[in-house]
Amino acid sequence: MPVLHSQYSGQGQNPAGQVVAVPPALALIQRGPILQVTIAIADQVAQELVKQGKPVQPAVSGIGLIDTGASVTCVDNEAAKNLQLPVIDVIKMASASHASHPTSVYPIKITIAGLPIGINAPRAAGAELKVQGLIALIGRDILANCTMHYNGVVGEITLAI
Amino acid sequence: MAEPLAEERKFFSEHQSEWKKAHEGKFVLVKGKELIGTFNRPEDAIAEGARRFGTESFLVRNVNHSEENLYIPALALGILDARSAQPV
Repeated sequence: MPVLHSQYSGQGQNPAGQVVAVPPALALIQRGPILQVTIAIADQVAQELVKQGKPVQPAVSGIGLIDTGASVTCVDNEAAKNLQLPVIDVIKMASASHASHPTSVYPIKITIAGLPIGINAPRAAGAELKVQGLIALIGRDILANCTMHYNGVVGEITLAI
Repeated sequence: MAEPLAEERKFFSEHQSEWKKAHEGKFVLVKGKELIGTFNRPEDAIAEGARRFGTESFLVRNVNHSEENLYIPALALGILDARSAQPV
């Protein structure tokens, strides 16, 4: 079972204005359990496009945030557009500004850097994530394939697929 | 601009009751006003949709689909902020 072990790090400024290392535990608090990920069109779609000699858009890379509060994985709308993903449903989603608004559903595959296995999320919901510096919220549909250990004390997560 | 899959979703709503009886638990693949097929897994419906329609939109839904809001707390509450005030 492939295992990814990440300890978070970063830099900040002390009151004197000097750049200092941020302890891993604080870095994990500040940014959350983020991972470098690539988003691609789901295997089922990509395979059919290849069979038909149609182009498959290259995967896009960015930051994904593990969100155990999300029942389904969300993908940034702009990334989905760039990947030319087919819309396979439209569902209603609550957001901070709207009680309910329609959002597209896309079939995607997420690959986490450092792990050799991509996971298909056949029903990822579109969301405006780019403004948060993210391309994906990794939800419980993806996490259903994983074992995760969150060690806040030392600022580490361990993910096994 | 019209919402994607408006025609397909309307067609689904009109036929959901009969499909729930005839295809219990299955995923339907709909394009326009046509039921293309029913499948045990969404992946299979998506593969068939891609085979027929490439990257065009097509509807894949479980026959038991409900119109409840998807609730992602971080998005719904506006508490998602993966950016740090400090460079990390």
